Amino acid sequence: MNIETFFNLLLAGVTLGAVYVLMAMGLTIVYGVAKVFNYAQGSFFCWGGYFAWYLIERFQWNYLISILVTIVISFFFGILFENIIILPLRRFPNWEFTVIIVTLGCALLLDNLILVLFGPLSKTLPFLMEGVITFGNFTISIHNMLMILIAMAILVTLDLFLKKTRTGMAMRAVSQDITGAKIVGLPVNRLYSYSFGIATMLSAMSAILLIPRTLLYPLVGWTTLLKAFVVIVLGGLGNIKGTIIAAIILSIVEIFTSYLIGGIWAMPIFIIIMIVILIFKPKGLFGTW
Amino acid sequence: MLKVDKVNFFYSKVQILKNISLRVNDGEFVSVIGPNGHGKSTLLKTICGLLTPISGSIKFENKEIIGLPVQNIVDMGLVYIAEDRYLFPEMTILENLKMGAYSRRARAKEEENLEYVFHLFPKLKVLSKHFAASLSGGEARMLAIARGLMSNPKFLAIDEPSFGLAPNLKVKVFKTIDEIKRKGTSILLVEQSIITSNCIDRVYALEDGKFVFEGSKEDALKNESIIKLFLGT
Repeated sequence: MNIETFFNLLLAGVTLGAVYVLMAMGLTIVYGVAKVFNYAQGSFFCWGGYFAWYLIERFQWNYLISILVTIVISFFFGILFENIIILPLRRFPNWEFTVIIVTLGCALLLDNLILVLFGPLSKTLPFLMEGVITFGNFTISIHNMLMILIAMAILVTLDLFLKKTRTGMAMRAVSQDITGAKIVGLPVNRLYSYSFGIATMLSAMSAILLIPRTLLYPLVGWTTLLKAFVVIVLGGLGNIKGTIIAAIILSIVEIFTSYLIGGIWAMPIFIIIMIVILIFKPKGLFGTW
Repeated sequence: MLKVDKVNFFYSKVQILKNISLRVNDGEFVSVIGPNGHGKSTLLKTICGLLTPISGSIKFENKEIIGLPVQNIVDMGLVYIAEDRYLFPEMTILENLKMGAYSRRARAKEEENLEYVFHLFPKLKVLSKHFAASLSGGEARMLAIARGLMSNPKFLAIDEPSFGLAPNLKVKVFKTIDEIKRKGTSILLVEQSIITSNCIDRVYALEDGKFVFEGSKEDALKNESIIKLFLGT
């Protein structure tokens, strides 16, 4: 392997990591704040892709408008999802377990809805922008470069939101002590909704970034969900820095594995790494909330 | 200001509160005393909205509050300071206090209350950038009270604020509560012992989920069964 290939692979890994980080952040926020492990997050990712596709291909809308509309609608969809499906379950005992089955059920429902509405054949989403940029010997597609920049921008915004805004701080408070949050008068139900809204928005953004590089098909969300899950296990649920590092490491491993021994081995290698690290560090590489 | 009427509460099949009625008038300092495990914390949690009783009525400023979400009750000015504190461990003291002032009523007075709270507990100002998880027991208690004050309460329901504290800290806590009472806040204090504060107006004694005494503090100290209740355990 020459140095050029090496750097190209590294880059492909980092851009992939950008997507995994966003998905992992969504899962983390929903789990930390709303205490829900959202098995339907992959289906949200998938729906984000298909919704954008529908606006672009069927309605023939402008690409930029389509993705912006998709992102906004995904936020409200997340809010609706929490209010209609999750909130009524909270009054029952042991709801944390019931909700896992429910989100799984919703995932199946959403997946099959896609199959019914859009059919099984793969589709494509356009790149953010066509073209490449060359630095000396080095070529990088503009889309890939934007992936990294946009993911970084999203993470920085998220971090500022959680640390500096009142609502963001309130969400952190809810994730740290729900009873404390109630007795200081935080609007917990509203904060649960926001966490779902944000997470769904992050899934839609991930889809818009990643799907142009792969393909749009009915089960496209599951591989990303599973990888985001491994990222969280390694990086520590709720740990932002840990999640970023874990996402980058895992995605680089995935790309190099695919190149060297074939794409099929990516997932098994993930699982092996996860098992090995958990044996020595049961709380993940960086611990939990 | 607060009127609790014939409230019953069950935890699973066990009845914790049995036909509880009490009242706290504007500006009063009322104490509920009783041995551990007899329902004192449950009573406060029911009043503040964390728990919902199976029957009875709780009226705050003449409005029924049973069934309201806790945030609404805090917005009305009824603030609960728990024995377990429930602080936000990975947030700083300052952030914890800011969170106390989340409701609209409290937000308007945030600057003023922050200054007041730092005046009452100067140590909190010194440690303001430290994480709540790193605080000692006494400091955490102070933060819990301070955070409750940030919610701009008209009425404070306080659960055993001095439990587990060193004697000098106990004294400080009760002096602080007295000062809060003097500023006009109504207080419902739950404690194991009656020897807490000089500003107590009335006392209720809770045994096995029922009130067995109601009267002034002097009467309570003269009452033989009350004394047995506390020295007997």
